[in-house]
Amino acid sequence: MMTNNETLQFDTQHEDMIHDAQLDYYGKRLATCSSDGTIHLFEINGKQQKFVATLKEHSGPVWQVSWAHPKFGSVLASCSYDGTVLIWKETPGSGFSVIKKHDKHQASVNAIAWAPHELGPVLLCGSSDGKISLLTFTEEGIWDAQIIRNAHATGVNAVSWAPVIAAGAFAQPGATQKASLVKQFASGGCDQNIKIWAYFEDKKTYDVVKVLEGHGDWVRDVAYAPNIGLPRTYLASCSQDKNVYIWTQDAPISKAAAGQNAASDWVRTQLSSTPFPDVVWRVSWSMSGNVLAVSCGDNKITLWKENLKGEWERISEINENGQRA
Amino acid sequence: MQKIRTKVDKFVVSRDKEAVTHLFPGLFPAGRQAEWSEQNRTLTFSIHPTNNKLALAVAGKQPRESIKRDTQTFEQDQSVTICGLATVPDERVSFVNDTHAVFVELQTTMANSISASDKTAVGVEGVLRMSGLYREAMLKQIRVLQESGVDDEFIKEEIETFQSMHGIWHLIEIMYLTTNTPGLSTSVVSPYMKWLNANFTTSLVEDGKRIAEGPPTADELAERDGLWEYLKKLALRGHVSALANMLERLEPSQQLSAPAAHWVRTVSQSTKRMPIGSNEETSGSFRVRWKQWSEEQRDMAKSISDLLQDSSADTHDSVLQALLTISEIMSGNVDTISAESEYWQDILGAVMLYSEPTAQVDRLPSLVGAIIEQYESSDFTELDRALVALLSHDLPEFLILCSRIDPWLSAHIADLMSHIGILSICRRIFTLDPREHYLLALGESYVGHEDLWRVGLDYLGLIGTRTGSSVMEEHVVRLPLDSDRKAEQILRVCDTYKLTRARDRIHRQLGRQKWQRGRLGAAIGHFAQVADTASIGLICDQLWKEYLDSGKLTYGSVIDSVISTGVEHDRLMFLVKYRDFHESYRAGEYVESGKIILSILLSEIAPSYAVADLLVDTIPLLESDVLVFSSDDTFELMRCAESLAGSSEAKHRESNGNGELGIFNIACSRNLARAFVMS
Repeated sequence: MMTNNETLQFDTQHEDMIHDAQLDYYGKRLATCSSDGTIHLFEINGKQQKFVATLKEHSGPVWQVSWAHPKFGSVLASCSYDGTVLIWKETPGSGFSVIKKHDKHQASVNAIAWAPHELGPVLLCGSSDGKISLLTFTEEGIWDAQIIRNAHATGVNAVSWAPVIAAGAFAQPGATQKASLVKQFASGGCDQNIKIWAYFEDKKTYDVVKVLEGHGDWVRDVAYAPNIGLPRTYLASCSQDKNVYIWTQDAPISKAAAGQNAASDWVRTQLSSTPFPDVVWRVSWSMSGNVLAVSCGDNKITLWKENLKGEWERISEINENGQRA
Repeated sequence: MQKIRTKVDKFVVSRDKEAVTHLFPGLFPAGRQAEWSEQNRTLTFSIHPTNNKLALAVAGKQPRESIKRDTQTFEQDQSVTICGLATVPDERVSFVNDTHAVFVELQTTMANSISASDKTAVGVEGVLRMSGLYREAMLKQIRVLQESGVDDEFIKEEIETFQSMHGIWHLIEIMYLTTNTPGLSTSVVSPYMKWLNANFTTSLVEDGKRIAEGPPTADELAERDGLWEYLKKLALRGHVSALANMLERLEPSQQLSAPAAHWVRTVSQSTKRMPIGSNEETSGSFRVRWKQWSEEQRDMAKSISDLLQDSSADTHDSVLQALLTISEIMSGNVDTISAESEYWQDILGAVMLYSEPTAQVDRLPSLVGAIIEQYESSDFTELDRALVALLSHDLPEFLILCSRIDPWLSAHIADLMSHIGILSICRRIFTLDPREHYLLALGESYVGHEDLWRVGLDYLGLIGTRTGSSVMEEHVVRLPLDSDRKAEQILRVCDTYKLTRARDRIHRQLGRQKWQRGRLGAAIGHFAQVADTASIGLICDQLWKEYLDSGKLTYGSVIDSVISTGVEHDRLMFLVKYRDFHESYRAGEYVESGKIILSILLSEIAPSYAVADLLVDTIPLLESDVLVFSSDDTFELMRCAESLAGSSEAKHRESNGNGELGIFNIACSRNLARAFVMS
């Protein structure tokens, strides 16, 4: 048995339950948010942490926080039960302040996700009002909000952007050119469905290109794996039905079809042969997309990796109570 | 702002071979997960981008507003834990560095072998040399761990792991590099016996020292404890010279019965005659000699057996019984060999040595298959399984079993197999490329380590695939730029692996970092590397503004350091020329200074907001005793002033009412008049 003293535990000083904790792009900062309506920021440096700030502007529990790519500066987004999304920006010397309050939703905003940086500062938001909104900082210097109504009739629980470079397109010339970038995202909702949305240049809007059915209860989270040059796209989903699925879509064979909206079939694989013991709340990929972390209602976090045979293997488990699993 | 209270000291993570990470104490009280789940709690987490850590917290599933009023609150609700999942133990760092150097050299050697005239020979020779270096590093690691004096479970497991890795590596080296390379196929028996003796040590050495201590007389030797067990082991492990010598020393003993003494002498002499093959001898000739010797052993075994069954003899003569066992082992009797062997590896060795001394690698699968049938597979360790898979030529299974022993092993074995051309079968079977798959995992596990990040990047970069390169790029841009030296190292890595996008991003990041720290020259240098003219322009504007605010021209050293590196930018040239203007003016070289300021204005390298200041700077020159500006020059100055008229800068100056531009206009008129007169 190995032991390791590098573990760091600290008190966030929230006054109520935490709902989310997110590390930034470099893993140097941690943002936590809570039912107490605040966001707390910490600097993490190896074995030490330093409290940086409390951000208090929401009037209800804060569900999620999301750090923007550092090329846009030190920017954080938060979404809340109060139905708003706030975008915070740090200014040297004066700390974080709200630069945008997005209040077009009529119910709790449950999920937010920044687009891949290549697409610019675009924030995707999913709400219990069934709508999805896209908040874009335009070249004119204003925030533009685009609303997708009836995305999931009974509420949106999760959103995730697809990698901007299409699967299998890495080796193709111009894959990273703006015109070739994939503009797609996935959403999961209380209607038990996962929807894949793609941008249509002619309509200048996102529209559903595929509905992935299979979960038997609310979809709690969806997460696209980053594209590290593999020939297929990976999307993980988890649900109230205690299942985690890996949805894969092979890259189109022809170069011409390698762009966005290519209509290869999605294949569903169950992560573990038997359902998880409880509701699965969150799925998240490692930065290079080769490890999937799953948080289950049985209060365990398990890490999974695709093995050489293309099967998913549990490679690690965090057992929180100090007892052998 | 409240100060945050920390409690860092009492928390540890432990992990074991079941890949479960335990937190002590747990986030929840032991055995109360279900209860906590009912109390609206789950776990939330964030994966650290680079260093195999998770930020982990007890989280509320529903917000406070949506849950029952009597839902409890817990102290743990406010805690965040950041825990490592797969750290490289300190004890391994030196080994990782050593073997990284070998890995890098192996890739270079193999890349060079492609262009060599005799590719195969260069390749095999190179891989064999590197394989030896890998094994040396493993043996060194075992020695270091054994000599560390630390006697805990972790060190014991590490020693066991390294011994397993060495055993596997040594065997694959024998099977695919020493005895079975293209154009060369020799008997595997002798290398196998060396492997067996090197990797599965028994108490032979200690027993040998104890028994031979003295040295004993023949009688003393006959009375030594464990003598015959030792002699049987010598026979099993193929130490025939030692066996013959020991029997020879024993023979004069008065403790032996007459028949026993006779057979001790006979077995000793026969053992000495065991045929040894040589390069000069044909295999046919060797086989004939072997057959004769083997028959001699069988005859000897039969005679001793007959003697023991003879009712007139002492059937309980333990010496005769032991000599029978030794003879049967040397005659290749599988039942006796199996009964006397501690490991299945011993059986394979003795069977090959005494029954098939010329066996080549292709015989191993059937031989090992017959032997392991006698064992319950559940008794096998991962090492046993890996060795059996290797000996059975089941390389895909072998590779998977290696990965269960250690990620270092699977990554380096897959790499080795790829270089010697035996990974193709695995590539056909597996969905993912094994070499890439395992090297990626290994490289990523090193990148987040404070001292091994450079090593990790090499592993990712030297995979040589698009995926390896992509993963490397994602990591390299996130590495903390703690010092200039580290930043330089990272940039060099980007250059080596042609990660141009990452290199550009790092230069931009460094530029912003230096800018924030007031190191403007260095910041310009980094922005210049990525042709970020906008940022360079902004820094130059900052320098100009500082000059205007302070009235002191102090940016000279910054600009000189940048210019000396060859950076070209209009705004920089403006600042340089403006500095030159000041210096020549201060030296009383008015004509020269006039030329410089005119060239600044005509070349349009100055920002528009600085033009008015430049024009004002010409007033003393226009009014000087010496004629500095010709009529043409003066017309140019007036044209510049004309183009400035109506601009926001001009309006701003007018509104300030300082009248400087009015004075400039008058000075121009007077200078023009003087210039006409002088001409």
